[in-house]
Amino acid sequence: MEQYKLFINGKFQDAASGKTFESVDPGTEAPIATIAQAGKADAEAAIAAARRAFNSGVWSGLTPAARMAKIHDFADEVAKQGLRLAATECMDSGQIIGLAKFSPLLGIGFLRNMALAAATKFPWEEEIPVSGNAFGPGREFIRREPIGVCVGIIPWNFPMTMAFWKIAPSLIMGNCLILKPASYTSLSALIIAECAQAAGIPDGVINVIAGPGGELGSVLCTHPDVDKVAFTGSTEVGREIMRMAADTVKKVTLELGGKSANIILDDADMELAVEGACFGTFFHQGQICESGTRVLVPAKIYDQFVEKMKKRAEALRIGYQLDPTSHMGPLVSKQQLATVERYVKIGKDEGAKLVTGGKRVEVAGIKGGYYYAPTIFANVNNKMRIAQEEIFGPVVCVIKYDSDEEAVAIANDSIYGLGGGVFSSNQARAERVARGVRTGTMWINNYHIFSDYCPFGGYKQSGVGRELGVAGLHEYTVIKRVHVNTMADAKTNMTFQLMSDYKKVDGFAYNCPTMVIAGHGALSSIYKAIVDLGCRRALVLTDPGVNKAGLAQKVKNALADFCVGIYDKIPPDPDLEAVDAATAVARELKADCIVSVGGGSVIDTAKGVCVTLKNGGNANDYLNFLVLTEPQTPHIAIPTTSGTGSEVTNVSVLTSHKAGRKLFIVDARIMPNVAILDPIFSLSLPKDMTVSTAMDAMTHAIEAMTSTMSNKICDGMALQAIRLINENLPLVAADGKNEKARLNMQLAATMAGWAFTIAQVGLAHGMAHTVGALHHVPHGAACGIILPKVMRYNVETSADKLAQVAHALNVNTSNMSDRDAALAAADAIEALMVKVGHPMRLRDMGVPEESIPVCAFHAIADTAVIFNGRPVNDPNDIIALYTQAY
Amino acid sequence: MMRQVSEVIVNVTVDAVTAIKSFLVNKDNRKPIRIDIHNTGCCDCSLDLSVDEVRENDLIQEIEGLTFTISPEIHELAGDVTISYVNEKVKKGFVLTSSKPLNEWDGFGVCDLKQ
Ligand SMILES: NC(=O)c1ccc[n+]([C@@H]2O[C@H](COP(=O)([O-])OP(=O)(O)OC[C@H]3O[C@@H](n4cnc5c(N)ncnc54)[C@H](O)[C@@H]3O)[C@@H](O)[C@H]2O)c1
Repeated sequence: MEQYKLFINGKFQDAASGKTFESVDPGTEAPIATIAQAGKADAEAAIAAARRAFNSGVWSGLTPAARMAKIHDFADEVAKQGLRLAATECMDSGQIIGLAKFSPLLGIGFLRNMALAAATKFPWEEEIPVSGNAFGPGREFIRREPIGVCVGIIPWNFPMTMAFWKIAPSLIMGNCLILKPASYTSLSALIIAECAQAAGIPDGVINVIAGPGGELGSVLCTHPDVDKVAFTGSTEVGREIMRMAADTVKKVTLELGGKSANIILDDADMELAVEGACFGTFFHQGQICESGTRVLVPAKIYDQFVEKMKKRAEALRIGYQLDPTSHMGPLVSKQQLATVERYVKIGKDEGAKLVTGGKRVEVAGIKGGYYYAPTIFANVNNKMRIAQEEIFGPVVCVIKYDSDEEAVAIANDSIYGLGGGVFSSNQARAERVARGVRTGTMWINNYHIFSDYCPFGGYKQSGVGRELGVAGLHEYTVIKRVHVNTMADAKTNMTFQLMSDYKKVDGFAYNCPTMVIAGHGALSSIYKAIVDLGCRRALVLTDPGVNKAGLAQKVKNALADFCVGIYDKIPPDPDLEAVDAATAVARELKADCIVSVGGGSVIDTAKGVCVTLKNGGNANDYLNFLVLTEPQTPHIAIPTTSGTGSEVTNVSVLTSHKAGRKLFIVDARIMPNVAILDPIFSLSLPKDMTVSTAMDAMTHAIEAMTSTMSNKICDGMALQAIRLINENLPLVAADGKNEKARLNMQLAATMAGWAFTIAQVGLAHGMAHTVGALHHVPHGAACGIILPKVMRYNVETSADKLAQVAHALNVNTSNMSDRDAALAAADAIEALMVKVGHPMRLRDMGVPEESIPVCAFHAIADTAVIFNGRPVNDPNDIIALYTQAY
Repeated sequence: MMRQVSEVIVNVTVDAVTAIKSFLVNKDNRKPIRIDIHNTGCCDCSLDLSVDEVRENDLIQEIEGLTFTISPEIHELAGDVTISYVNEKVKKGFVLTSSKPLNEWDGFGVCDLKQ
């Protein structure tokens, strides 16, 4: 009789206790081999060997390609042992030779397929282009790394296949493994260990220990050096393993029991369905966890179907497993035979009708063996124990149903969800039924088909995790996220600053890629600009006021053949619906470019349209910060107000009625590709709009300078914008047709837009947003009224910057301290506003005084306030500022 | 026909008796407790407990006022059964072991007493 030893740390050895046990041929009940019986000491030695091997990096440190090369050697050694493996598997497990002869080939294929997938397709490293945290910029990526020491515990039904299912993914992904085969069927795993040794898999990378599950399982599943347990077997044992593993928080994957439904629809090909029902349950004597042991048959063909199944079952040849004519061999053990007998008795007691089988079978010429006839129960109610508990033998329950919905409901009435089938001549119907069943695998017009790249695993109490395929490889890795900070500087780290009094952010990235074409006659450049963008079908977006002023038509004319239409239904302070409506038109017209002609409302809407046109869905889907990864639909912006700077900014401000406020898409990818600043587009802007939008631009510039994010590039833009507004606003207020002054105002608004795109805004904006949202104060007007009050408040922290502002406002600061100059800047702003007829008090804008405290509480939570140069922590400060502005 | 056995075929620890009695409080505790085979799928079966009727040919044994019953086939297969009760951090329930273990996982899992 052959003797097998344990394989630990690259060597075959006796058990520490010297104990052995016998393996029995279930077809003859004759012992065929003795095996060293591992105990606690051997399990610990195997774990220690695996730990050492893993930590040394001898295997885990190899590249996936280098591991693949070794796995190829391993597969070749399996090929050399193919015949021995097949014959041993057949005798040891009762698997018919017709099946066992394929197992080595399948194992080799699996090793090679998984190694190739790991070396070529597996996402070991993955970039995360959008991190979702705007305050912690950096490269974000994940690495998938081996888990460490894995334990594989496998059952006796497919010993060789199960061994490969644990060995291949764990080793290929760089782990080390302790494999514990089932005690009834340990031989093939130990032969595979010989192959690993011959292939030169490093010592300790794979260890195979045979022995009692209870004793070894307790060590393997609780040992602190084990990182993962992968178990295939009963739900009861799996549950216990999960509990044990919980103590040291091991990763666990479980492939457990099933009671799968094989649903025969009334339009199924009868011969195929009968064959599928019988193969689905009697193959390998029914000892397969995903067997379709509940065959669901429509009432109208039930009797006929049962009769045909009976005939087919009775024609199956039961014989010794090495006999190539046998369709079915023995059950694995006398205990399994007794279990099957017990359940058949339970079925009869429960009132099910025994159609055929229900008895042991004697095979001619053999004394003994655990043979059992294929058994069919009809008139089974799904609540019966034989329909709810997995029998794990050649016993099938045929259950009657009336509708597809009922069949799905019966299929789902189980604690398990492992496999299942549908037989139908209508694929669409079959697929509908398959979708309804809560289970890990559904076969349509087939059964028991496993494929290396197709994941297998359970729903509900059938298990956790997946084996096979890339999904199975993932189960043997852990994810490490790596963040590499963009700027290695403490003073550029906004989050570190939560624990620091230094609130300024020193480092910055300046990314404002919009091409600006400015000057008298700039509009004509659009003809080339659109071609340069590779576009031919521009949709002009505008609003009724701008359209009425004839401005959209000018653009249409300039575009000549490249304009597919003008859409002018954009409202002021646009909402999400406005974007969706414009997008629908753009889709219908197959627009490939958006040209926005209008103020901030139109340009912001256009930005949203560019995003939804490119990515699909609705504007609401993209209200977020920095989530876009690609260039969006090309956008040419032609501003007709001189305020928002939206023609170059990274913001789209959109009202969400559900959220009850304005929300944002903020992304460098929404900056328009081209901004055309042609003064003829603002000549018709009414005076009040001219003034209030100018104060919006002024607020952008001044708040960018006093922001915690300010920097010298933005300061330069801002100061020039302040100068230009100060000089030109009185001119355009006095004469709206002053083209030169209009152009200067446009340039100022654009530069202020650039300044705040990088440096952000501050408290005045937060307060303006609030009175805008709660009391509909026009944004520019609110900004103007509040700005000087906030400038005085910010003198505490930003006197130097505000002194520069004073200088840009033409205040003679030569004998002033920074503080006095800063205060003078605020006065100069107010003087400018008076000069151009800007509203000066919130009370004149319809804000009720009693609302001030509520406004203050809203304003302090506004995003803009985060960046205010002077930290704002007390709502009373804001109440005071609103009161001053009142 | 059932058979009250004189030899010991079921051992029950004190903790298990207590646990069973507390389960049976307010229930019809004259019903016997059956020891039976239970399969939870994919290969190995185990023994479990349920409150049941006495059936023909059953072997029965009285312990501490509780009645245990087992079919002769199961007794022949599993041998004498020991019922203990564990209440540990990671394990809680009845543990059934048998003198002729059903398989290598004998006593590994736990079960509840089913009504
Ligand atoms: N994206 C950004 O960077 C940014 C910055 C600040 C504000 N905003 C947003 O911009 C919007 C406000 O934009 P806005 O202030 O430019 O005003 P607007 O676009 O809402 O236009 C206001 C009105 O002026 C009319 N109008 C515009 N140009 C005209 C012209 N040349 N002749 C005649 N009428 C003209 C319009 O028809 C409209 O009725 C708000 O929704 C605000 O939240 C965006």
